[in-house]
Amino acid sequence: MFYFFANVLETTLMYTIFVLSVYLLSGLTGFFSLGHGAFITIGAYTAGLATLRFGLPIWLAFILAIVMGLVGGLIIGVPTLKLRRDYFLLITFGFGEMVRALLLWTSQLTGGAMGMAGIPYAAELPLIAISVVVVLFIIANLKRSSFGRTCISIRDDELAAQAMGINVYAHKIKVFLLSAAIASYGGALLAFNMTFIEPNLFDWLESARLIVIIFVGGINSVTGALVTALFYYSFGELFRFANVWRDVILAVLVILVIIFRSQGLFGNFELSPKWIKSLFNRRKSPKRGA
Amino acid sequence: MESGVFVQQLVNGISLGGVYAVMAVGFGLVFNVLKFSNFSHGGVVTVSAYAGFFISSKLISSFPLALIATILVGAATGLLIERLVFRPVRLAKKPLTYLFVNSITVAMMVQQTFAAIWGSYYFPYPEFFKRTAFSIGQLVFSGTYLLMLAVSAVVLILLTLFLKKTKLGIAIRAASSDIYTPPLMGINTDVITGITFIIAGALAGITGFFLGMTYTVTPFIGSSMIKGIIAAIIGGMGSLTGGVIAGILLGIVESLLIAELGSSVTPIIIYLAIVILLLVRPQGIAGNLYTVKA
Amino acid sequence: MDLLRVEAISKNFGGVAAISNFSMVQPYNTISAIIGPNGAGKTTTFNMISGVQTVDTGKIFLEDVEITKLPSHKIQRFGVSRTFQNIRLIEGLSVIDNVKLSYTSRLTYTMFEEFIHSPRVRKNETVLEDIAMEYLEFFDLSKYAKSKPKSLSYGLQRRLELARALMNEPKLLLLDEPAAGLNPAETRELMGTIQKIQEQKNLSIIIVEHHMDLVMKICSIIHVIDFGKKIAEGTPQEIIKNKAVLQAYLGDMGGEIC
Ligand SMILES: Nc1ncnc2c1ncn2[C@@H]1O[C@H](COP(=O)(O)OP(=O)(O)OP(=O)(O)O)[C@@H](O)[C@H]1O
Ligand SMILES: [Mg+2]
Repeated sequence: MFYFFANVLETTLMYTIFVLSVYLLSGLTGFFSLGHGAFITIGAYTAGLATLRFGLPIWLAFILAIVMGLVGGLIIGVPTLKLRRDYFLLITFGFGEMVRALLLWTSQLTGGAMGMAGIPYAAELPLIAISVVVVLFIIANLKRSSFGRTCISIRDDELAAQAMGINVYAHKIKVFLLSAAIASYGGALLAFNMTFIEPNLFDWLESARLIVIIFVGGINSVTGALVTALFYYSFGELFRFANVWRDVILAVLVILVIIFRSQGLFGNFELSPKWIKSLFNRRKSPKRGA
Repeated sequence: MESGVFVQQLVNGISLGGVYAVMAVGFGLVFNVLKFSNFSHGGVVTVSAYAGFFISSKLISSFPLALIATILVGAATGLLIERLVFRPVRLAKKPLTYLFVNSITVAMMVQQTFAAIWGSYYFPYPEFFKRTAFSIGQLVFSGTYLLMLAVSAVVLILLTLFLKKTKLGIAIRAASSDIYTPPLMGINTDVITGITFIIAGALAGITGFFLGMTYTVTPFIGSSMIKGIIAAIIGGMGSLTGGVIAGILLGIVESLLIAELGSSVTPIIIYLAIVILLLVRPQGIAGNLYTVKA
Repeated sequence: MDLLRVEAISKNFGGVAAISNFSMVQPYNTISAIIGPNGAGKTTTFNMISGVQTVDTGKIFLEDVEITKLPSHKIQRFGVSRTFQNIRLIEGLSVIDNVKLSYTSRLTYTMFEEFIHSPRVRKNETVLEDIAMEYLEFFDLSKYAKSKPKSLSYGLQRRLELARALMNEPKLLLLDEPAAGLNPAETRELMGTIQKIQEQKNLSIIIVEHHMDLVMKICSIIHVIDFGKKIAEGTPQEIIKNKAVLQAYLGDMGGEIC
């Protein structure tokens, strides 16, 4: 029983990392990648290949996974991030399918459709939990500083942002690479946790789901992304029988949220030490005036 | 490649390309009017593929009537989605992003609903014709493919006439600036949008039916919309003519590549080619580069 | 050396000339105006100077450095700030964050420092907050610092755009119809404010306007364009007597000149 719950928690947390990487790109910066799963896959396969086929140590496999994610991000980002957002969206969609095709084609190396089994089990709960915390820490820090303001300005009005001195293209590339790096790191974690990976792990639907989850929580709230991700994925793992229907429920929820509360369930809310403190303060001394 | 095989693949490619072209136009039409990438198009394709199966195997065995019935289902589904999911967002003048998010949500909902109900079943369409292939000299052609090509061509020609010659069609083409600017030529944006979705839905109906005939029906059949999207990109987003040309080109290139190199390398080459194309000529074959206005 | 020198710039949109062969010189510490009827090409001129749109032909120099082909963020970095005719504030950012935004290009910390929110980042953010607050106070906006721009009235949004443009400490400020949508009293106040800014900050300002009377009192040079061509240039007193100008205005706007 304990193992079951530990497992649920591990899976949930790993998917939370993916959601956070997408939050940075889609929630904060307004770019949608329907091939984000490709970066997760790249990370997972790099980790698997590095350890299984090349016998490299785990830590190096993690680094290589991130590097490969960055390379993929550059290949896609450099030509498309200059163009209108739709091109980026559609090309990432194609990229995701290309990565799958590539894995199937190189079956000698990757095992093709059979997948890759026997990857060392090296990512246990503590490592995963620490990873989530670190990613969360980074993203929350970025959001509250100039980096995050720049992201939001690009999301809302690229032209105005550029006229205010923002190098829009360079910033978009930074965001995309960071997001790709986090996703591929998460992919490596996934490989080392599940020990088995296959090319169809992340199709475009999986990428779409990551985006959609962010809109439930609200694009202005990391907390929202976090809570929705935790809720959605743990629910799915706990109630496997309802697995297919949970997406239908999620879809209905998303549409309702977008129509009736497009700022998302959490709006601008962020869970912060300040907010927690204010909870206690409010009880002791109600604010005067205001 | 032997020249006989080449001709055969070429014809198959053009037929398949016709289906891609229909997809690209359905996708491009909505992009033209509302300026967002409408992934729910794939959802309508899936619904139509299932509808086409049930209609043709349970209700109407005649090919043309079954096709027409499926087109109607597609058109109705398109309109329904527009009214339920996109209209509220449009009326509230929310950013286009929300339209896009709703569209992927619909695609996801359709796929997962069918997966939940019939996920483990495969539905093959009935054989509409006794003779499915015929030969000219040494060459064997698939009757189904030629029929698909003929239908696609007729539909695209009719659509072109509609868009060029009727007041409504011209209004749809003119609506390509911004849905949030005042209505053009006295025709209500709401009406234009509705009709656009009906047409796109009808095109998705054809696509679904043909894909169902060519492959078997699964919940994931809508994902083949990627081909239509690729055609739309190559053609130049929003340029319908470009989409048609690119769709046919894509079909030909794909068929030839598959025949020559196999089906596993082909998608890789195609995607790489698109990335390179975008680097060199981002506006596609015939499109304008969409940029933000000051 | 002049602050800005524009040499015969032109811009076409699908064969239609929005502006052709427009030249002007903007000295330091001056307020000047570009006026002209609807669609004359005023905004297009601003767009080219600020790098928002590319220049078809012609050259633009800022302090004798050619900036013709530079993207707008680099031009802003060189000290050219602007506002927009149809206000373009960032809706997702609070009022004060909008102001901070235009200072971003001057911040020097690395992405890694932002990852960990290093002490330098923390210190900089505090300083930035203080400077931005000063600008908000100057425009009487400080009590809205934490609100979203959407919640502000039209007039306040215009002032916020001004504050944001000044945060960059520009040498040249381009104001595209800053009085559009304001009532006469607000307009008068705004013109006073613009003059005050110019004197306090020692910068040079170009105002695009429809109506000449608004800029008469505060401008030393007026450039008049009509149908994409410059038809006159001079002091307000000269312009008001100019035949071509009168014709353009009377023809187009039924004597709206004063
Ligand atoms: N992005 C564009 N695409 C096509 N035509 C444009 C574009 N921008 C401006 N124009 C055209 O160029 C001409 C000049 O426009 P501009 O906006 O510069 O005029 P303006 O003097 O600022 O007018 P207003 O007083 O209305 O603001 C107009 O005819 C306009 O329609
Ligand atoms: Mg203007």
